[in-house]
Amino acid sequence: MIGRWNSGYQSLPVSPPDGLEEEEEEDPESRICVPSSGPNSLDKGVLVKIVDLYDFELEVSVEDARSFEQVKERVREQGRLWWSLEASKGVGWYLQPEISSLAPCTSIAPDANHNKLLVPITVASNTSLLKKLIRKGIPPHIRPKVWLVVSGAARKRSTIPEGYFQDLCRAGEASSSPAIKQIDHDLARTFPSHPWLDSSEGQASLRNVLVAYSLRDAHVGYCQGMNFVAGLLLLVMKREEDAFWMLAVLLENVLFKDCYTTDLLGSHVEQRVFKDLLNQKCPRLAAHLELIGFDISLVITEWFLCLFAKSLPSETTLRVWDVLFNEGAKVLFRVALALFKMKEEELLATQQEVEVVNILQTATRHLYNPDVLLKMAFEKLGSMTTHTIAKHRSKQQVAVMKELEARVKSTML
Amino acid sequence: MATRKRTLLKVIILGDSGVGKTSLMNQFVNKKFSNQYKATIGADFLTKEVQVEDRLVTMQIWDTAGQERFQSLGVAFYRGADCCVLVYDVNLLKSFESLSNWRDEFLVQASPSDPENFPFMVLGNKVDIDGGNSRVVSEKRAKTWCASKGDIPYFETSAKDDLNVDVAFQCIAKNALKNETDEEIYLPDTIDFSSGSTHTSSSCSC
Repeated sequence: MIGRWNSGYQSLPVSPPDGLEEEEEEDPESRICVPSSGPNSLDKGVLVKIVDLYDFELEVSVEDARSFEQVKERVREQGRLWWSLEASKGVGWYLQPEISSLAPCTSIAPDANHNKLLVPITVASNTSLLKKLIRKGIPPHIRPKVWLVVSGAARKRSTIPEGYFQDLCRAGEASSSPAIKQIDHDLARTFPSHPWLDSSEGQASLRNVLVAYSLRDAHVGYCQGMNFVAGLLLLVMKREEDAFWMLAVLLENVLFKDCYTTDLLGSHVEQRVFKDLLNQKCPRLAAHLELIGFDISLVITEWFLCLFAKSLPSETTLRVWDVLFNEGAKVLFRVALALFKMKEEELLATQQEVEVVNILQTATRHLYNPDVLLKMAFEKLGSMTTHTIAKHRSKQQVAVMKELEARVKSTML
Repeated sequence: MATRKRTLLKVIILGDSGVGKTSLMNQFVNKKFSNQYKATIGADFLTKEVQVEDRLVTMQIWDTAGQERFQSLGVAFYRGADCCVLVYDVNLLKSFESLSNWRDEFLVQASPSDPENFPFMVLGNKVDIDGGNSRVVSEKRAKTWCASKGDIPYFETSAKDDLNVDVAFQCIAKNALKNETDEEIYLPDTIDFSSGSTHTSSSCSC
């Protein structure tokens, strides 16, 4: 598909960074295949059926169907750009682990500091180019390869003997645990609108990934929310074992620790850090929400535990994940802040918590154009350093642990 | 003469994962049943207007995640609740045994002002399954438990067949309103001209 488009593309920018910064100027209306035959005035209320890039079957408004067509075109453009870079920089130039933006600061690269001093200029410039490219979206057909490398999943897998995943799957077939019972309960409740995930084959694959992980980390076992993450990972990665390693690197390296454990400690910490950041970045909105008694946990719990998979359309979620795997967990804060920021004016007019939830649920459900969200997240929120976030985290971790202890005591009484 | 008042009731649905909380809520609000619901993560809600005697009541029904570890997130979800619906699956003993735990957790985290009289309701759901042949918790046993916890009203429901769903939610609304009237019983109902603000029956605590 992408190849067919390549051949027809003549005006590819020679210098990649310019190409990346180039904005869409042409009138988008001129190249959309409109799924409705009626004039615009009749569009309201009309629903059309679409199948998205990952085979989700959706019924959407004509307007959403148009945005979706634009997104498809953008994905093709990105495909052409990555393909041309591959032609000039060499096949798989983006598959060197050291050019991941995540690599120098995670535990998967213990000798990172040493390496950093010796980084050749080409590596540094490739790192920065790859970072820009990934923020513009990884074309679906190379997503699995790129994710495995930039996230550190490939490196993680390379230290484990072959057959490890298959052994876990076999062990899962023979055992029963509360985690496995809950997994079995949730298989049919994970994206039931997706034809493959709704099939016995898809559910068997999802089961393997989740059960294997529950056996790998008994401290986590299985937490609801992981089903949506693993489901979408399977749709991207296609192979169970690859999806399994992506899930492992997410929970163990990319995300803040202990987000899915039995007390959800990490998730509590992240939610409170997010509240701090909202206070800083959107003080007026944070004050208003406090005034009407809205606890933002009501919306961000799902966002953070499903990594937006249950809230945003698939390609938009995956564009967030592209950046998440390359740059780390702070991306989730940026995206969540962007969602609040995009709806700030409407949210400032709310009086009740249900209005807030409604506005944000509607906004996320219709966010077919990932560029709108990512632009807000990465260009309009100002700086948010890893150091600042680390400081917030350590402060909040102490507070959360005290609260959880108090809760255990009061429940025992 | 009492004027017709518009009241908002916040209803929280709790119970183990998969007992049918989302289905009950959807059957009551949208008159629909589907096998295609996604597992609830965090919380979700639906609203419905109902008529209770002379009052128009907006019920705001909050559906929650059922996995035990999500209980630690309760504070945000339970705040300001006017009533709490505890759901179990009559075909699953464990879901019945969890009811005590859900009730206690709710009382600890929502900390209502009068926990003894806080309106709860218990629903034994999925009575349609296998024509009732696979049920493991008898109606008598469930009613005994409800009686021991301060006479909690009990209904047997099927979200799938729309059995008792409406009746149960109507009863919830009525009890929550009754509870509210009890609290305000000493307020004279006729003096609505003396003070600038009319007393509202909204449950807002602020």
